[in-house]
Amino acid sequence: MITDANHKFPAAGEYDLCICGAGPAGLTLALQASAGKRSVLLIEGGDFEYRQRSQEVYRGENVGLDYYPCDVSRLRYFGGTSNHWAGWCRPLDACDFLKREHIAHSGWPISKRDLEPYEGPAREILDLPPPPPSGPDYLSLDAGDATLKKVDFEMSKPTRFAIKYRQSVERSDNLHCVLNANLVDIALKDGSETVDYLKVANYKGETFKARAKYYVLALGGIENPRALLNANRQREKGVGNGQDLVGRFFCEHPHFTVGHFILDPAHPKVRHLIDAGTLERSFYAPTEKFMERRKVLNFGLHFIPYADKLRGEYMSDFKMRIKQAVCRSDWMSGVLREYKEGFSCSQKLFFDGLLRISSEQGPNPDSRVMLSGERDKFGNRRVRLDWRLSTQDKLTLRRAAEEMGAQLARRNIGRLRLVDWLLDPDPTLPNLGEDEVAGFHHMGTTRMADSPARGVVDADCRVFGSENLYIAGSSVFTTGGHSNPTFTIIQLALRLADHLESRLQRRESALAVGHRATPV
Amino acid sequence: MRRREFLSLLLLSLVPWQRSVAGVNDSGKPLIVIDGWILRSDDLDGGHRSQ
Repeated sequence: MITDANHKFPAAGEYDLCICGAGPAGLTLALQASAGKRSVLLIEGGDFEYRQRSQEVYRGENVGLDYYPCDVSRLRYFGGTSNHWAGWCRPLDACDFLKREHIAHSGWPISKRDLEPYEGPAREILDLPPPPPSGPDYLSLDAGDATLKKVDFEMSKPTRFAIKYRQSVERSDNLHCVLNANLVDIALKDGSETVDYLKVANYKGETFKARAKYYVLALGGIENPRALLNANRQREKGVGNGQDLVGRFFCEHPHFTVGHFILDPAHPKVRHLIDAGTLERSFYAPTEKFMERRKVLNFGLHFIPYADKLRGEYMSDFKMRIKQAVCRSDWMSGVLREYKEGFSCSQKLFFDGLLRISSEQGPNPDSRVMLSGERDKFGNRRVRLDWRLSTQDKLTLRRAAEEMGAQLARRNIGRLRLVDWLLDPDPTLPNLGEDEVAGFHHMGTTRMADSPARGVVDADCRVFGSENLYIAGSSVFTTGGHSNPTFTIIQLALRLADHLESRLQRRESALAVGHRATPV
Repeated sequence: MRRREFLSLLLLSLVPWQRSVAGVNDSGKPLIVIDGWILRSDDLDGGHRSQ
């Protein structure tokens, strides 16, 4: 059932699970748990539709790299950020989970294999058809020398969780979703890290206490740490923040144009490259060997062809066009005029398209979500986002583009010109308006680790030190690979549902044993 | 290597943004970066006069 906290609070009582946030992670978890007949309270700060009073709670300040306003890159209503999701899907690579010696703070406490049982169900939830056979790799060299490999993404419709799952939630007897219900505090039992109740408020300023056996924050990669940091009534640094790690390691997927290419239309591989770009699902990613050797992060390179030019006259004279392209440099044209008899330059622009990158960002404790001095309508401090990219992040962008350029030239498929800013040894990244910059992917801020010294949640997504508080969503990502996060978010939510079901069953078994042992 | 080609490459090696890129082309010649372009060393040789 779905009710509105502005009209009526849920009846007092203890649920099996209380989940905060009705986005992809929260709804997946809630539906999975309630299908197993568990009683679930799902609280959502927004309404069925976008409303400014809810969205403005997301307002914050950016103090780091130029980034989207905090109330633009996510949505605060039923269905969450799936309401503006583009639909890109791909699981993380196996290497993304590994401890990579050349990447500080890398290494999940789980492996890709731990998430594989949830690939099938995640595909159903995200409306993906059976996986297509992987296409041939048209670019990389033979296996021994491969540096780049083709990887395929899939596109969801995209699934709008609000549309797809609203009826299921409304018809459920044991899943109670409360709209316009805002988490404002996490109350702990005295002297412990165990959650006693969640304080929830409506927009009239009225509050109620939500109680459950287990609690899950599924508020998104920025809001999960904000909720923990704001819960500082009993813990000065916030709940789960004994090691000062909550909010740190914020990472995104840097999205930039890194080069302009021209291709030889006569080369047999060019058609495949153009098709890959036109279909918008094929990327070129580094092999593990290349990442290790060049000390770079994972990335995906994508050809975006200018279709009209590829069909036109510009492809007619490849070698001449290389020279013309070189002539775009005043310096080069000067040199060539001096040393090449009869050399002349054309000012015509004739690139065939853009080479774009979506890259992994290395875990960086200084790239972080903090609290600002300004407060929202519920009295909680707003978010202050300090997004930073490291030297290794920038080096990855350049080495990725250089390698693609080298591959094109080496095999005489085409030529690539790196963008100007990438030529600087310490490049200044383009701002918003000049490029896409990032993908609205907020990750890493309550990262999963094998020890509280290295992260906020354990391998089961439970907050270290807490008996009953869990986190769902991309904030638990230890590293983010280059795949869009939604698919992995769903896999992790399904895995968490299994874990919580198992804990609830163990708890019931223990209670039953206890009852039998008690003399009647 | 012809004298003109040698002089061109010598001059190019003096500019700050000239860097070599790992690897060689299919003929074993080095790839070079000039003003952001990743080129084969033979990209600037000959050809233009015959066109």
